[in-house]
Amino acid sequence: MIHDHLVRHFEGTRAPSLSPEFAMNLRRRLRAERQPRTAPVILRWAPRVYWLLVAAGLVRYWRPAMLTPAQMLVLAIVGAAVLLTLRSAVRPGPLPRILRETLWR
Amino acid sequence: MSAIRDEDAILVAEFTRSRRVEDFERLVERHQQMVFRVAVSVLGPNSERDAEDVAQDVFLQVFRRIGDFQGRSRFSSWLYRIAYNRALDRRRVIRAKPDSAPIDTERPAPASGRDILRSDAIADCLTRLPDAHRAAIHLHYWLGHTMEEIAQTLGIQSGTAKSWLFRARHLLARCLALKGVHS
Repeated sequence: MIHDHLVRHFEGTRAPSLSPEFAMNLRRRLRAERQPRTAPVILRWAPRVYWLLVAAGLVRYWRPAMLTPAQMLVLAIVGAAVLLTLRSAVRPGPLPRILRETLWR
Repeated sequence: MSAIRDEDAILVAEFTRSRRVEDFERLVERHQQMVFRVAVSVLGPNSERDAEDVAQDVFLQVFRRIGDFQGRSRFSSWLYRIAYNRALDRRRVIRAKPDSAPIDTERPAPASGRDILRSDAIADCLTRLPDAHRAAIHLHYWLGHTMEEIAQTLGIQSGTAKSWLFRARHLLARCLALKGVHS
């Protein structure tokens, strides 16, 4: 019987269909996606200059302890592992997206 | 089925190599209706605009991250799974908005007062179903999908689709009984 109720409930409901603008809008968004995104020069260079200054400061004022090649290798491996872990940890999951859509819609 | 799979695999390979919008659009043409239907089955009647937004977001995501497709499953299954998850996200957003109109509220024009009550009760009970069960009901009763098509659309086994529908009907019957609508 519930089957009959459902059939009756949905038989008058209009079948959904894609609007004619769907393909056009999607094409426009896809083409926009292909456009190279160039940030203003100042925004691209500011972080580079900052890190160059930081590196120069370290070289000038910090005297690191002498490390053997093996110690340097271990340090490099550990550093790379930490970086990779951080990158995967800060990759945005669905929650930030849901929050963003909630705020913007 | 294998020819369809091969066609998708060829198109995905071509797009991965060329990264051209034109190549991607051939994939869009093949799957846009199904992606839209997956979204609409989750969002329910009266949410076609939202379902279209979801479909657009899905294709943009795939366009950007086609490299994430490892080829372990069919391309269509992978795509429909993304659409299903995106639609669930959108449904949560819509429900979380205090000023949003309730979804699943479009009703056919019932003939009598008793039909109106029953239709309202069904619409209300549908919103209380688990997401997967509600999607299965929409796909079967609203969009006319067979068990095989539901299974393919939701990326599940045919037997699972059957049991989801069975369970959904059981839950609906119980909910309707609580509202005094007996089957």
